[in-house]
Amino acid sequence: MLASISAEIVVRQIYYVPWEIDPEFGCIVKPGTTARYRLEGNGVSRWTANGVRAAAPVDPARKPILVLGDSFTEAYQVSDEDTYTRCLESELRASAIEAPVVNAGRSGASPADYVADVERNVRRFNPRWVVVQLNEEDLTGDAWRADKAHFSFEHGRLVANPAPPKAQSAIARFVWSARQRSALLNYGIIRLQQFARAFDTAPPLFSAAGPRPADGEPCSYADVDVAAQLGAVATAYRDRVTFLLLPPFDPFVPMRRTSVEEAFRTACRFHGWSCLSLRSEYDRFAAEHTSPYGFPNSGFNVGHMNPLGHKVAADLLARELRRLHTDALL
Amino acid sequence: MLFSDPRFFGFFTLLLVLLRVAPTDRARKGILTVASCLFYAAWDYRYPVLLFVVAAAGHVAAVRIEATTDPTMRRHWLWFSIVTSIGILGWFKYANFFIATTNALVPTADLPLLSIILPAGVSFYTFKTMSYAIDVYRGELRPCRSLLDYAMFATFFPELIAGPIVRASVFLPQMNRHIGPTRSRLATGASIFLLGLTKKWLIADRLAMIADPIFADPSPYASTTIWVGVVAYSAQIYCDFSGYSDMAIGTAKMIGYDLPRNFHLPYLSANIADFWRRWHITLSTWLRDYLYVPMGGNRRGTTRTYVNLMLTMTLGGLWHGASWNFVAWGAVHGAALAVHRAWRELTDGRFAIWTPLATALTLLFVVLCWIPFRAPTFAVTFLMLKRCFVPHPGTIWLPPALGWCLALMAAAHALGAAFDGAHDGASKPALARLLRIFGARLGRDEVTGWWVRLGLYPTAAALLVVGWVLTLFLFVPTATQPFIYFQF
Repeated sequence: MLASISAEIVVRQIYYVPWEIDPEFGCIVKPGTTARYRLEGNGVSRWTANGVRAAAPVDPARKPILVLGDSFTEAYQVSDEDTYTRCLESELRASAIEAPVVNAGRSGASPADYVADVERNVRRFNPRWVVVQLNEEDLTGDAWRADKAHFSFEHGRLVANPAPPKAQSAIARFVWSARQRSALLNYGIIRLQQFARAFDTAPPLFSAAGPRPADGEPCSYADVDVAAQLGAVATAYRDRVTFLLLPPFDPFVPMRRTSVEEAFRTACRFHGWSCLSLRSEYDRFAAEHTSPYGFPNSGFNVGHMNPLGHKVAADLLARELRRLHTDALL
Repeated sequence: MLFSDPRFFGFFTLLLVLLRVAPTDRARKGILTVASCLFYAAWDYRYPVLLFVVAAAGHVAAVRIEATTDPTMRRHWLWFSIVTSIGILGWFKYANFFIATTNALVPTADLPLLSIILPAGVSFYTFKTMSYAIDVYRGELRPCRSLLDYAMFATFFPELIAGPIVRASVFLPQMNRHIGPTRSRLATGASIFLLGLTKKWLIADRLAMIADPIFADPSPYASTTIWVGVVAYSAQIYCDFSGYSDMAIGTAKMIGYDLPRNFHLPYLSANIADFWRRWHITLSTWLRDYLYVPMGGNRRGTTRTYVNLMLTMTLGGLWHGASWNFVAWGAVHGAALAVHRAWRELTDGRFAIWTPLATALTLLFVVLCWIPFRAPTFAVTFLMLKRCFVPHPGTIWLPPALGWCLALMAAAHALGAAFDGAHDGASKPALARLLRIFGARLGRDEVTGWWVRLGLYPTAAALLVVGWVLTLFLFVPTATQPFIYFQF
């Protein structure tokens, strides 16, 4: 018992992110929580209602800038003051643009979620402008997985389907509720799941050893239309959207674009959307021998955005939003 | 099946239960032999055939050597054993290395590489069976009369894959023991196993996450980061291999056998010769007794002694892997041993470097030597060595994990050094007093040396064990890396 209490105290310093189920927003970080995440990076974050990362709720009457994105925007890994949403708000304020920035990032979210949830987002946040953070997986596999909100083509038209309802047994509900009370239990279950995944990849026993078969192509996305996905998001938010792409960074060829990025650029140019890619700043990272991704406790250039990446992303967004403001669009 | 694989825990628990309920020692030995074969077959069901060939050749040779007094025939049977073992090792481990080297030296050769898989543990069990035949040839050992005993020795799974290299003269005399788990064996063996598991999971696997990307491509990194990678690997390989050895020793102890110690605080060595008395002890003593001494050792003059040292270490390097990097690593260590010997003879012990400085210099040398050992190519080796000494701008990565891993290692080494002091009698009373405060006491084991027993306060001991297991469960990387020495 003593060991468990000690472990609970230790785990709470390292991984403490309690969730709750919101009838409209689903699984969100419990409002009023100060979450700690030190497994990758070292972040302390405060959370308010509707799964928004902020110390206090933002009044919809102020018409905020709504930032949608995945774990790169949610950013457990960095503290509040280092997130690009907070930096962006400060930079806009310095330019005399009084617009609160609402960080509604959620791990695993994809463009399909942003389209499926448009009515709710507009009603609850009343945004004057929407920033949609994307990475390559969002535009390829992530938005097409049937186990969560996903796109599909119906009669030649791109449709966003909401996440399928998940039935939960009484035991599962009890365990879920217990996990929210004990950081040790919660993290222990996460660890068990990680071990189970690692165990699944262990080589089988009593089989002929040898080179393991190469993993096939992860998937062919030839039929995935990047422009259609961006178009669906832009249409949902009445074209009042800025897309921010976070492409992978290679310090040796920092400016070499991937095929998904090329499709992203082409679509943005063709439709005249407001689009940004962190790639435009990658030569700076390469010259300074840094990376927008990775932390001392995880690795260089792996995983999520570090505070430097957030700062540069905020600079980039601030420049674009100032331009939109000058053009009277914001 | 790794020792750190959850499936191993199931396998081993079942084995202990069977050993406990088996009615006779003979039945227990049979169960253990079958379990060892299954353990080995779990890697690849074809491997036991190879093990059988190597073991049979060693035993047949040993029996024939014993049976005849004709020196020529004895020598022939010895060579039969050596050629069989070296032939199998050479084919599986070095065939492609020699083909690739030939292709590189003679561009017109263009020999195709062979599709050969290196069987796990082949370097270890070939050495083990070779030493058995050589010991019988030298008259230091009589061949094993019981086939079951020999089969158990040859297949004994705890040390089969990555050592310690157990000689027949150490293992066979233990055959008359009543094996099987007892409370005392389980307590000592499990704590040694847990210590090894901690070294592997908590330190080695964590440090692998730092060292691997730096060694894979050091070019974007600054000199500081290169040092980080080199130091991380130095700590990783020690914790990985000594962790494996601890797990092997602990596993064997729970069954009822004692395996020899393989490491003894190697990074506290005061010179390079001392290092090789403390690092992979069973290999270095094997090389000394079966390679260096037969080549003449230090009995054939000064020059020949240096040549023998160089040759022994170079071959020792090659034993680690079929790569010129390993050869270079062995050769550099051989040269260092030769220089150390020359220095000692030149000064005749009159000039001794201050021990802490000598220890630091030895550690620096050993750490730098890990670069060719770990680097995939000579190009990477030279790049890293250059950056170690010529400041170079680049990405600076100072992972906190390296700090706490080194702190843990330093604490463990300090404790180990205190135990050594206790062994000498110097610090024993003070250490014993200190341990008593925590309800622990100092004990001694004939194989593993000094240890601490937490016996007086069961609650404190339980808290420590639960905390330890929880720490491992919560914080070790889930993707367990294979043991480094499995590739050898």
